[in-house]
Amino acid sequence: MIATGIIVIGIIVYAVWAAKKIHKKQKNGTCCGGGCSGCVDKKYCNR
Amino acid sequence: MYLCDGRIGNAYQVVDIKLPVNIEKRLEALGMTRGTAVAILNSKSHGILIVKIRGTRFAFGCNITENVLVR
Amino acid sequence: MIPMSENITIGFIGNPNCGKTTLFNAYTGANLKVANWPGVTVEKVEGAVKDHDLNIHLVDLPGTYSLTSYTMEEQVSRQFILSDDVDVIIDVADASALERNLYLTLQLLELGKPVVLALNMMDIVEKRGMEIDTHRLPEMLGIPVIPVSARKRTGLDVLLHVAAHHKDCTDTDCLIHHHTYKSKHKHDHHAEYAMVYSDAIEDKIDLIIGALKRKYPKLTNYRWYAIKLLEQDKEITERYPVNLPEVIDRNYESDIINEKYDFIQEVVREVLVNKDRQDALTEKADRALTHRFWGIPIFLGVMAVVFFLTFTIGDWLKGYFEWGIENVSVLLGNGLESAGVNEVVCSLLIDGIVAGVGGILTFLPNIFILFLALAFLEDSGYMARVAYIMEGIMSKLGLSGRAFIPMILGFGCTVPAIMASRTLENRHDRFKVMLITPFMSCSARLPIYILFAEMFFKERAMVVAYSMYMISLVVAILVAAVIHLIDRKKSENYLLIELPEYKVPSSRTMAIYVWEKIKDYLTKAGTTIFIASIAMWFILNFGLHGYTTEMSDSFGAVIGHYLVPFFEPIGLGFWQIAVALIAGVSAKEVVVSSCAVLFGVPNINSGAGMDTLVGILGNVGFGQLNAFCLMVFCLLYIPCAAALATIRKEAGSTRWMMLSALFQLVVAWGVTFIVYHVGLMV
Repeated sequence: MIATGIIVIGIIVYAVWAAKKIHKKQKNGTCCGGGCSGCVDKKYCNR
Repeated sequence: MYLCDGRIGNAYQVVDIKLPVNIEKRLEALGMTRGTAVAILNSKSHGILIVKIRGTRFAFGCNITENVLVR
Repeated sequence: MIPMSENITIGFIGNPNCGKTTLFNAYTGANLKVANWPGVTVEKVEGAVKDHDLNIHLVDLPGTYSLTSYTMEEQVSRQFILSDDVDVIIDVADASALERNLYLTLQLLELGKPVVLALNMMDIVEKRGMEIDTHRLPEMLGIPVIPVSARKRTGLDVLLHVAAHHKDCTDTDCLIHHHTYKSKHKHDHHAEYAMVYSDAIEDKIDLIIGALKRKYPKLTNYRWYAIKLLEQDKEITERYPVNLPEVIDRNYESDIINEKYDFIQEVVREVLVNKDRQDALTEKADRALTHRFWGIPIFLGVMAVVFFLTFTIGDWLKGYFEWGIENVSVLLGNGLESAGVNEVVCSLLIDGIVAGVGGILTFLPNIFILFLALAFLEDSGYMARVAYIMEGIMSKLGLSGRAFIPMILGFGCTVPAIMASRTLENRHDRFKVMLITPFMSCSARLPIYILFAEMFFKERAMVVAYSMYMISLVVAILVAAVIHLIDRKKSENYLLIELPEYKVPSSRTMAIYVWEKIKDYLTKAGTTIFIASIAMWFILNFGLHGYTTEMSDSFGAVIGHYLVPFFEPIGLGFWQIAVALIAGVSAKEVVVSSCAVLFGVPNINSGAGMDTLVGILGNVGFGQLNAFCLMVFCLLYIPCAAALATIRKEAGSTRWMMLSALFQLVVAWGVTFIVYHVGLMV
């Protein structure tokens, strides 16, 4: 029971982190395969 | 005569460049000014050339070679 | 004396192909920061390094032949150099092509910022028996000249040290040089400037400087502004106009360029010995590689070799990955069972996450080899030749041979390929290329080919996969031809590309490049594919009645069944396939990870996994022809979300992005339809 709970929480936390990371990449200008296209804001112009 | 009519292995001298301003300036920045020597190294079909200008190799398409006057 | 822990910024600039990036990487290693200059789509690369107590911030400017205001790259570089954000410029020059590289140097000198000339590729100069007088050259130019070799890593410390300390050298004492003659000019500028023009032009410059000083007293470096006004430089004329129509009676740009080259010839004559020793290897190689008839077949052959390597070496390395994933799943399974974890969560972990993400990770070796090969081709100098070779065909399609390079990059990833279309100045051409590039089979589709080709075509798997790449090229060319026929506007595309000397690619540069790609792949696996796998697991294991182990009752099945009629005529009328294809819009690899989850095959890329899958598919009537159709459809249909976002940014309109996505869907459906029905008849 406890194990299940830990795992589920772990997955949720990771999933949220992954989603945020994808969102950041999108704002960052799409970066994929080693290239970045167009930044939205000076603050985000980072990889 | 125009550059596209040149023969492989010969060198020519640029007389005039009849191209839009920004292309002409690009060519000039690369060293292709009036009086410069251009040597033709290779060609694909009529007009597509590999040339050597001031020691550097370039590939030119028809739109350029058909508008560069040489002698 | 420089105080402790000060910061300075050094900018790197130089011609394309002068080894600037290799030199930059030699200092920064893989600690690069890649971004964009704000507001424009020009790449900015930054790094940092320390020289004793000095923190040096390095900025790599785009490779350029000159600093006019005709392209965005040049404008950005020019603005940066003039600003206070940079202290010293390192001008990287290819010592074996000094004549052309010095043009940029002269322009940099006129900008008035401290410049240090790095003579790169000195190892090549030595090898060819050329000699450069590195005492006379700094005298003639008035700046420090440091011979380096980025490849052999010589001279690097000296260069950095000189550059760091050159920052304070703006007064004329450290810019002394000696000309061999005295000018008759009334203002003898020789002591101050390396580049002195003819008297007529110098007179004009003086007059303009006078007017500038009166009108804009706060400027520095009047000489540069005066020269730009004489050249009728668009940007400067707009921002700092002066009213001197008799002085600026025409455009003096050509005169100024010519005089610069005259001076360069003078410098080269004095400083360079044995300058005509050219690279025999490049001549010989080019005779074969750019041959009139054999050029294209050789190119196709090279591409075939690349894919052969991707498959064979990739597969060999893959064995290790598969073994790893297999063990992880078994261990995890046992561990979870003994910990008494809830069965639903177990399924999520093993059938969802491990199957999905693990499945994708096993393809990493193939991806690695592909990118390595592309990096090799690019760095060796062959890519430029490809533009020349394809110029004949491309111009018939209304494009320049140069447009072929983004297309080849598309074999790696669509995103940088679409961005590379920026190098085409003609907006019309850019859009054409953006429409065609997504048809080039990107590396994300490779897992799909590998999987299905190996499953259904066994020994002929490689041939089938190679055929996908050929189909990709053919479709791209056909689409381009059709667009060209419809849109007969006389497109002015100019092929103008430098063909650098061939060289053995630097393993360091390639390593950094490939590592970036691998990092991206892993990140994608850990984020997009992870989430997609969870989402996929959810819709496949939950239905109208809650959790279910009978997949045909799930939400996914419902959605899939709705879409089957759309896919039926093209041989893909299976609800599982429909679901996988929809999921594939997030990232193409998801088609494979979805199949793993959909068909419940844990180690999908292994021999056993594949046999299982073939069996399952066979049971529903999915055979060789269907597999081939699936591959063709995946090849051509909508690009992944990242690519779509890139198209939208580069094209500047969401409508265009939708149109291009729709276009691809139509083409994909049409071509697959033809393939399917032709296949049925055979």
